[in-house]
Amino acid sequence: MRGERKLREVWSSIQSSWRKSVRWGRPLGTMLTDLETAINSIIDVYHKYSLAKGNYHAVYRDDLKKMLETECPRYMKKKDADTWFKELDVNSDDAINFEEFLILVIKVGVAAHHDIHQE
Amino acid sequence: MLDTHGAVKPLCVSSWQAECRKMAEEQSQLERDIETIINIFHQYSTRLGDPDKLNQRELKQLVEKELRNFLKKPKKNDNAIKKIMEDLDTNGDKELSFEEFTMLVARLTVASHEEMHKNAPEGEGHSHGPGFGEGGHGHGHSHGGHGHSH
Repeated sequence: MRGERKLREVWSSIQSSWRKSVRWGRPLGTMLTDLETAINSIIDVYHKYSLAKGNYHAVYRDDLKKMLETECPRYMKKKDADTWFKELDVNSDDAINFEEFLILVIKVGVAAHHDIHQE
Repeated sequence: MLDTHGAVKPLCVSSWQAECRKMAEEQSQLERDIETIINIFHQYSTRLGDPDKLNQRELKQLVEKELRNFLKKPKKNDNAIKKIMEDLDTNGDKELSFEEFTMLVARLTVASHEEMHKNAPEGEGHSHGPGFGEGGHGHGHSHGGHGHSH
């Protein structure tokens, strides 16, 4: 499936070794910026649903439905929860792991940015 | 704050944002996060040249200001920024579109999540320590249960 291959490419790109080459800083007692807070908040959103049951880093089909309905209802108009699930579950293990969840965040983010320029 | 294009207004209020604002109280956490990311991207992309793309200078400004706790201040020679730019610039136009920029956000999210687990207290259940830039007093959370914690 073409869509699936595309997602695999996206994910292998996320995992590229680039991350290792950057030296991360973690100074003490600093206030996070809005962007950094938003990034950490995305992590929180995932765990709201992934900790519901079973594996701590697995969002199951019904939990994904809840997540989509609560977190991004306007992006379910064209694609229902089952379609989203199939698309995101790249490794077909019937659960959405953290990395697969980020594909959703990227897709919704790109769509939201696109919508902003539609006016 | 704005450079040459100081006069450029923040890019429009979208139907998406307007819709969100209409139901402001109902805007979800994820929607707020995404809106923040888009707004910050635009804050820098509108400064020079193409208003919807980050050039290397704009990327440098964004990283230094908005990611100052997540990424160490780049050295004088700018190599780190250049490297990030080259790596994210998939179409090779020497600028970052929002689509290309999302991969930076995704990588930072993965990295911060890994950091939370590295810093997680030992014990049962799922728990997080502080993420990037959160020093020793992060928002750590933990959820009891049997089984693993990292």
